[in-house]
Amino acid sequence: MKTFSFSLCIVFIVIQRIHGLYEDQIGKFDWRQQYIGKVKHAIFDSTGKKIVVGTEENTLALLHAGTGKIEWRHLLGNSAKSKITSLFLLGNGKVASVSSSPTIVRVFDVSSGILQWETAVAKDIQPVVCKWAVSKRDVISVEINPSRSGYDLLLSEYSSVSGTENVAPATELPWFTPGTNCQLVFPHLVCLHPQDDAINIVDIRNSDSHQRIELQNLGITVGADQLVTLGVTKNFVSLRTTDTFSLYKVTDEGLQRTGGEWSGETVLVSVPTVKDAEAQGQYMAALMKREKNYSVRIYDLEADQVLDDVSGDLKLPNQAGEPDLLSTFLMRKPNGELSYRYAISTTDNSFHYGSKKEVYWTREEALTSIVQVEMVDLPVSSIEASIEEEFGSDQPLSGIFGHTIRRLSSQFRQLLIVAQQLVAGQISLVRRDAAGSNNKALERDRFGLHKLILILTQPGKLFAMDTLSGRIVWQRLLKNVNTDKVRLYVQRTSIHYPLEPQCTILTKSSSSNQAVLFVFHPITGEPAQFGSEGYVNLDYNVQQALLLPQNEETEYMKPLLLLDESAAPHVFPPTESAINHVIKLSNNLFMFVADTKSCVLRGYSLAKNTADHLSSAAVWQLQLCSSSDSVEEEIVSIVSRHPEEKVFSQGRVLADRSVLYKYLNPNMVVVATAGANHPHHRGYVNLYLIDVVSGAVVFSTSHRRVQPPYHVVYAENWVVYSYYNEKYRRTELGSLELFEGQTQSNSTAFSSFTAPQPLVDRQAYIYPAHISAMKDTFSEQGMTAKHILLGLTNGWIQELPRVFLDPRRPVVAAATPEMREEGIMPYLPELPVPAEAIINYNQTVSNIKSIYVTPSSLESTALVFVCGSDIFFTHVTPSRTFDVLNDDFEYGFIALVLIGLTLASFITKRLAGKKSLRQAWK
Amino acid sequence: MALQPVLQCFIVVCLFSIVSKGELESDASSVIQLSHSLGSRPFEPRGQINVRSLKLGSVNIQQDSSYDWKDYKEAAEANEFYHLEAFVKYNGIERTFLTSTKACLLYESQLADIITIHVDLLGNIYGVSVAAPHSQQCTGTVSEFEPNFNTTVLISYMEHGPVPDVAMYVQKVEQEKVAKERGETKDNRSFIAKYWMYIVPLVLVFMMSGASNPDQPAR
Repeated sequence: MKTFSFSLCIVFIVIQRIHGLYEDQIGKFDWRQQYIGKVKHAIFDSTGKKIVVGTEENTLALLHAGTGKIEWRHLLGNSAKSKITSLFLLGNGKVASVSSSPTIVRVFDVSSGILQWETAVAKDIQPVVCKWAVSKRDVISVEINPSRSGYDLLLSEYSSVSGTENVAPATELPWFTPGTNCQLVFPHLVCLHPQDDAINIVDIRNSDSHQRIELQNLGITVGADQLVTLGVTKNFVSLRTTDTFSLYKVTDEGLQRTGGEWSGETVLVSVPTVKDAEAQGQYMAALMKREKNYSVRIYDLEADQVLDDVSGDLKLPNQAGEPDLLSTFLMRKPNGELSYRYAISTTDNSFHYGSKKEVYWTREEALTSIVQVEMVDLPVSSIEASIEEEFGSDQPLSGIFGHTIRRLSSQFRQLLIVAQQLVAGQISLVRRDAAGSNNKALERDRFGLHKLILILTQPGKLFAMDTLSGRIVWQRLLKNVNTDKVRLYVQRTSIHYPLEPQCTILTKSSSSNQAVLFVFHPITGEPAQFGSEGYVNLDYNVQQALLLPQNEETEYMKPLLLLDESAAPHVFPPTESAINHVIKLSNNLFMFVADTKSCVLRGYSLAKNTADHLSSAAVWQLQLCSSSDSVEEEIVSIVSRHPEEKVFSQGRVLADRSVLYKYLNPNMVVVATAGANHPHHRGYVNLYLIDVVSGAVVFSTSHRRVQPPYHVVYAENWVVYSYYNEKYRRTELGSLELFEGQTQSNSTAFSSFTAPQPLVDRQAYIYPAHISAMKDTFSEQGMTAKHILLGLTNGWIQELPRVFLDPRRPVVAAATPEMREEGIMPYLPELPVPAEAIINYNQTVSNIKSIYVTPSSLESTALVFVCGSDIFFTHVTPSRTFDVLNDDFEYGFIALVLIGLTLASFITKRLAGKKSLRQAWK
Repeated sequence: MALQPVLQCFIVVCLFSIVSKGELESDASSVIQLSHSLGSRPFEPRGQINVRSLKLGSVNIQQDSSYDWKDYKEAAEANEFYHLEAFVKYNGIERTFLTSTKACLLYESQLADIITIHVDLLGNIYGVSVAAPHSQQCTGTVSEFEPNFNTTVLISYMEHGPVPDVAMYVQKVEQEKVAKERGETKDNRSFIAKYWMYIVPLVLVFMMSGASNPDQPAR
């Protein structure tokens, strides 16, 4: 019996499992791009051919200066707060990085990227000031800690070879006050309190050497409300007031002014790495801003002059932000001329490398902080467009004559297009190869597999990527907006030819709290004819937005419904047809607003107020979390069904031929709240299934002693969620499935106000890996089996069939014939992670944050976009490719067979005719 | 508006979850003040629900319908909402909840409504919702009735989440092992499922011989 049930299990596993990729399919429809995050530290090595970078994503990498490719990359832990705070190049071909929270010092070999040593600096109390520097041999840390009598300075030295720690006894700092900005220019500590008018300098090895230098003595006059800010660049400190900038060298005697007069237009300075070691420290590079143009100036510090012939203008790409990091490299050409290379990080998180002449390459590091992804259809090809025009509705000519002319002209146009494409080489008569498909025109293919990925990132930069190659088609930086909260809506797809597709971004203005919309064409990236250059400033603050699922009839636009702070609804675009469309639907329109901190959920119903005016009224309100302050409970996720998801089957046929109807409530959302620090069971997560039209709580459940991360997937009539079980120290997946029962209450329409109470099946499973993102696949018609994509912390993406998480898998009865007939596997508490189910085979996707799925026009295939530190795109076919021929289908062979059969039938017909003739003569 | 003050005491205790009421971590008594409105009319007091114990689910309700039969009829015909506001006080915590249903559903059920009090595992009341019995269809043909609420109060408790059933699975495997050692494995497969490997060749042999037989008389 046992062996039988096991063999049955294996049979099921074999049946359900998608086949892994074949070797020749690698890279055929998937691609991966690796990123490092916003660059915070960049250092050229002594040859200028490599750049060592440390980023906000806590990543250390070595970039090749010629190509911008990553030579090696280390992700030094991905907790939200940790980032690289300091980065130093040591003399002996090593690089030292210091990461914060937890503070860890690591030393790597630059050329190979091999970790030499690392040490965690554990602290009982957080130091007031913690600065790092390197001497010739050691990595040095200086901390200022509060002590009984005031503040103490603690100096620790770590040997750069072995990492052994050497702590000097603490010395008192009687002059130190909290809030002081201190910079370490080894061996001096330079401190400036914002309210003070003097600088304190102390040699960290000798605390008696304290000096106090009045700012007036440095030639800086400080007004009443002026602030002086202190910066540090290698062994220089800079002092900046609103309109002046000065640079000082720190010596034992105090501060020594260098570089003469620096203009107040200086934005950033950098001490260039110079190719010949003797000239090291002789030059200084500065980035100046004059109106909107940037220029790089090189100073010779010894001669104290600007090298005008070396300096040059900076031409950053159009859609780059403001520079906020400068690193430079100086080299002498064979003809004796000096020339510079720069590496600049800008506020749009991109990283540029170039020379006086041009920018050689740019890395778009904003792609590590993706907020939202939409995959949009491409416009129809020019041939299909001409067909559309031919059969379009608004025809000036009619009658036989007009039709003939139209047909002839359209066919002539099509012929021209084909000829053009032949000349341009877009149509190849031989079979297209993978390389040829990369430069294909941006038009729709037959199966909807070629789309454009619109990517909205945290710094407000918008990208459009080609799904075939991952090439960035266009990019745009949103201007004057505060992108803490930003959403992207596809209002019109490209199906409605000849109307252009249109997308809208909702965000906030950077100057006020009011909402801003940016309307654009998703294929070209050009702003649409709205407001000023596509920006529409709204005079209210939006608290909720809803894209209506149906488009209106005249312009085929899906109206965007915006709810302002006083809960008054607004429609965008404010055209008559859109408003009429919303008013027509208003009796059945409901919106809800959730406050994640206070856990208050409020539902509104919309109604038409006057003939063309909308109003809203609150219809329900819930308050989910515990009111106790010690339990920090808040909403961690709100998940609704994908608006385009279709459910193919209304129920499940049981073994006795009766039907178990699914509870398909289109208005239900899943709200998860999580609390920490509860006295009895520490962490807990509550899951609420709420009907957001009536405000009814359909079901609620709670797990105790659990930890984040929490992920929720909700599709059709089932919910799958994951949490970390603290008691058993493992990740578990909970699964809920809702049924109406054996009868369906209303088979034609669903009303939330008369909804039946569902039956809830539930089960939990152990998952032997850590999940960092979860998403369900869905197809155009909903016929294809559902799989769940699990992004794991080790960089894998597993495709798990939903049937494995079926809550009806029987525990006690070992596979009764009924269950077998229904196709339900017996319960196994642990879910498998087989290697064939890893859709990204060996293409590890680091630090997975989210997964996006879009169906293609092929029912079997869905497009998957995974983002994190890397981005990965692939196709998944949960029920295999049942609707397309295999890639290796032998077209020639089948043609040959068909021709052969036809020939054979003719020959045999002739032969049979002859034979019958001969027999007739007998 | 003709007021018909009717005091109605109606105690219904109903548990609608599998979880036993003892699961609740802290018990509390609570008073829920109800006020209601039809459509956009101002809120009027409807009554109050006294929850003596959330754990035991003992509840009584005192209420009166401040609206007239005609008001419900009008609201039902205008397809308006019936709003119910609940002001809840328990353990020194005050919360206000709002819930609505279609006025026509309430009117059609002759004011037979169901008020559900939602309680989480920590004993917090996180929602109060009103609904009409779900057999209503909003067809709008009801004869005149006394505007007295016939209320069912339900307390909906939160349930414990599912746990992976490892113990049961291990037990099952163990049992199968023991049974196998004893040689007691009862094979409950059907006859064909058991012996298909013998039957198929037999059938094949018969078919082959049967196929060759008819030829002979033809000669």
